[in-house]
Amino acid sequence: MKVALITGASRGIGKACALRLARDGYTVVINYSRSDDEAQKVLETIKADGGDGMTYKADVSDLAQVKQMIKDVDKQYGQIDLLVNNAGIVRDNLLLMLNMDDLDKCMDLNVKGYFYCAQQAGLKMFRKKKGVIINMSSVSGELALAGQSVYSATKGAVNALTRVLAKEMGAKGIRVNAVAPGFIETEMIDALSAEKKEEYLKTIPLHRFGTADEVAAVVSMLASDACAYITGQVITMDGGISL
Amino acid sequence: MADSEIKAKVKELICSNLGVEPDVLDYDTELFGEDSIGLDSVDSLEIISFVDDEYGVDMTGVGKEHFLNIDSIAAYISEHKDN
Repeated sequence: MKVALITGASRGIGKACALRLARDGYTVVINYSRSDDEAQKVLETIKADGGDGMTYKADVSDLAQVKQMIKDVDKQYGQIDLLVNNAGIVRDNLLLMLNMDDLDKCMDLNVKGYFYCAQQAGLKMFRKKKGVIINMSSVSGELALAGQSVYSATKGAVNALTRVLAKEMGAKGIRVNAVAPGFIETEMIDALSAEKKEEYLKTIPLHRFGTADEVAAVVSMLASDACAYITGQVITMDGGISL
Repeated sequence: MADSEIKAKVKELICSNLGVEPDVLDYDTELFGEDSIGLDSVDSLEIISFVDDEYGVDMTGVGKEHFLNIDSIAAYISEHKDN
């Protein structure tokens, strides 16, 4: 048995990762913070397909809740083989319009939350001298989009965190990588106007948005032994937008 | 568990997993820093993992003063473990 913990897994990319990893044979822990029904539906889908797992409600921007979650998961399954740090928020605004509460929330969830989960899950992986951490980054970590200073800064931090943790934990058998998607068909893209969507599509060489399943496929690959010699990398999958 | 048993287990961990000879390691021997037996920060991860696994005590983010020597590590464990 292998156990995967995915944060923010009740919808979007996190949900796709949970479903994919369950199909890969992982027992999946679906972390979520608010969407009880959606998280339960993800678990039901997994179980209907013959998989197994549990839902776990915790705000990963709160260290005490993260510690309790990791402790409970470890008690339940005795191991954590894979952490997918995915929970995050976007609060786009131009610098002079920036609300500092939004800045704090983004930093707390998109950066500190990744640290908290990596530290606590890493502690359990360290015991086994084996584990994989995959951080959900974004093409915005490298690409400058007006209005995304906060989100870009948090994803830039995730990229740096990924590289440093890979160096720190490599000797202990723990690999750390990141996936940096471009525009992915999620609720965020759905909310855009048709004109805005077309404007974005023109900038993407593959001329389409990516799908959450495609992101999950890269996560699955990075988690697998096929990528056993890959660590500290940020895998960009953006249809070529960053070229 | 008595403090002496905890100290003995921590010493055993340091000797068996971190390559320290038992005869150079007393309970008050400095573990990290210039005048120490030369453990480094990566070695501290091994100690944190062992303490978590063996005693269920979380030493992540704990101050360096608790890692001075086996005495201080054992004192932290005693103070925080469930009895």
